[in-house]
Amino acid sequence: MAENHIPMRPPEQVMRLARMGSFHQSRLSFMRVLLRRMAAENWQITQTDWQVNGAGVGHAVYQAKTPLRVYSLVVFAHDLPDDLRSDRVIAEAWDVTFTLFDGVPTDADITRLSQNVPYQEVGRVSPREIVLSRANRSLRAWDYALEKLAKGEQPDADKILQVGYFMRTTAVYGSGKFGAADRRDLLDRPELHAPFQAEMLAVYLIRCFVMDLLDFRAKAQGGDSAVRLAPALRRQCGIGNSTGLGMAPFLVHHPALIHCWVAAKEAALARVRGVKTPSGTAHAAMRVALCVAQDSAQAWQSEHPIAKPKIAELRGDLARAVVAFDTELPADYPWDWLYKWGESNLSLEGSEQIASVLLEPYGDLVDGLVECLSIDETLYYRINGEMGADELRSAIERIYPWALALDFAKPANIARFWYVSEAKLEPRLGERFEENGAELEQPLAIGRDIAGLYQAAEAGGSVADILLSAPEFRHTARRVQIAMRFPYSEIRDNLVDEGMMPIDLLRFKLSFFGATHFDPRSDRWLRISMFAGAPFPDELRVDDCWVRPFGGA
Amino acid sequence: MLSFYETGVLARRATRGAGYDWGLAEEATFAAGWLCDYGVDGADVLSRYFRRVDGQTVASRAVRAWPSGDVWEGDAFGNLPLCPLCLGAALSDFGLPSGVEKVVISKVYAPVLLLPFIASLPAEDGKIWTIEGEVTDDITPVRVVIIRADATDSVATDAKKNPRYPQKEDAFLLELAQRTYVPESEASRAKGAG
Repeated sequence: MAENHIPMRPPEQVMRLARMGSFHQSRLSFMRVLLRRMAAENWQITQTDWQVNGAGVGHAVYQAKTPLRVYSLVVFAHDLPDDLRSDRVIAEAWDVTFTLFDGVPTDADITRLSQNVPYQEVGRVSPREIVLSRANRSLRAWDYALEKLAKGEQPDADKILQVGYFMRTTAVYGSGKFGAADRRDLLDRPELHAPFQAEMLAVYLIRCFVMDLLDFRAKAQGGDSAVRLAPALRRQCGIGNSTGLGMAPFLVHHPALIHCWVAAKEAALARVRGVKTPSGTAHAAMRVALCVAQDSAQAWQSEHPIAKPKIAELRGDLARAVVAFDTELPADYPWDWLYKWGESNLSLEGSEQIASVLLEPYGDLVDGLVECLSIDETLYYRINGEMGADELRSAIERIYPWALALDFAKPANIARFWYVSEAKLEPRLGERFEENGAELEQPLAIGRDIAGLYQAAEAGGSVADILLSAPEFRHTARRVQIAMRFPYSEIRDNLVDEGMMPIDLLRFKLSFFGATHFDPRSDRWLRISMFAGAPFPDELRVDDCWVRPFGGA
Repeated sequence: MLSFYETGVLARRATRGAGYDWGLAEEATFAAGWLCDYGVDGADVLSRYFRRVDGQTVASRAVRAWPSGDVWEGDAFGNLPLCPLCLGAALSDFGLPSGVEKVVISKVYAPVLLLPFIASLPAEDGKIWTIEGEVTDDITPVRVVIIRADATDSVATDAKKNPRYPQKEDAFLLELAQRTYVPESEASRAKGAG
């Protein structure tokens, strides 16, 4: 069926910030990878402990039994007073705190965790814990729904779905943070091999807990007259997430990994575009997928001036795409035609939505690429010192022409600097010519450093020679050599430009997570919804395309 | 106990705080993690080494030129004791000359920090490079002799049997890391940075 004559889109097209900031979730998004595995392997997810009182204080345990192992979400509920609730990473108290435990916790484990997990960054966890996180209630949705359910009434779906979730996480820590298990020690587990699977599992399980807590509190408050949240509305609710700059440097510090994510998605797109004659089923499924995307765009709400025009464009684009699908689609290579039509006629939002939609009917061509989403980055870490300066310079000319074209003496091109804040050790973005601290900037001025390395390499010799006389470009030479091997590893834009939009970086990463309905709150942090529409454990079934808009299609 | 990840982050930030370029801070992350995996608390070695040389410039301990013979000393190479991170990175980049059976380096601080770099050099005709004699975690500058050995003697081919990670964050490494942080400005806070 597939004829692989369609090349993957080139990195200079894909890895631009404006496009990356228009990416949408797809079959290869990490949440969907997790749910497909859960369904295929028939994971058993159960609430095994519930020690929460009527005021919503206590702990609970949810177990996920996989074919080989058990993972347990240990949740502590705190019923935070309103004046202490903050979504900032710098907060010190939360409505719920939780950890994903490796195995089945003993009473002693629960006691140990109760003395640490509620304190988050100030506490310590152990290699038995894989994820550490916390969440706060959305006051608007939570209080309203609780009041209604306690009275025996269903809340108004529109009011709830304007928010889309009852709680939102602020940070989801994994990979060895605060003493938790290191990712490298979990890589041989098939269920955790794809990126961020443990983090996604923790968020999925906390969604189960939040829904149970809501019903439980309503019952405690309303007694026999209370009702449970209606299943259809329950399913449409996700878990919110507030994400800030902390996520951005990850993309720069893991170039080979980022390549894997993008290369897998691009390979999937090329495979689907290479389908010459789709089956009737695939044709019908594609139209459904397009309509689902259209409905999702209708339901996507944001008041932010960055997002509003993008959402409006997307809605218009998808309406036109449905018409084009119905009236112009050729018999041969229709998906290649649709992709190209989108590139020529739609905004970046629209054409990237088409790129994701195209993967939907083709699990057989796409899903196997999940195996390509991870990589042992340490294998590509060592610098090849024997490489000649000429080879290095030509690679820079090929991969970084945008950097060589910029004049880094111009203030606009180096207007920003990335730093780590003293207060919370979090990444921040400063204005180089207005704020102090630029001498302590983090190595994210890639373009500027590339231009410097290019110049340093003029002297000739080998990379080893260059780095002996210009050790300040060592990290940059490593990047170039990684990019030579992994073409999608490098963002092809200037990360310290005065007009750079950090939320483009966040959107890129979050789309790979599988997030939807991005709601920027500034140019550097946003809110999203995770697992909205996803089946609960008793609803899981194989190949369920659950990423649907509110209300479903 | 710190995780591998935490050990690496602390090593990277502290090395940067000790005045090294980013690429060498990355090498320190690699070296500290490698040593911990093989039972030597690499963060502790870094801490004692950085304390010993605090106040010196990195350049004063850096490799200035790459020698071609087998005895490496003198002004061109670096007349002060060498930094094992700078030397290790250069060894990794240049490799050791083929046809030479051993290389003598007059003085290097904390030679145990060279091991991760030497172990990553490719084997040649079944021979790998290693340091002659016992290598302790002492940081005092000493003469180092790098020799060829049978590949079966390589520490790198041993299973990682007794990893040893720091029990807690080292105070001096934290102090060095602190030098890399920027007080958050009002302007940045107002922009809602996360």
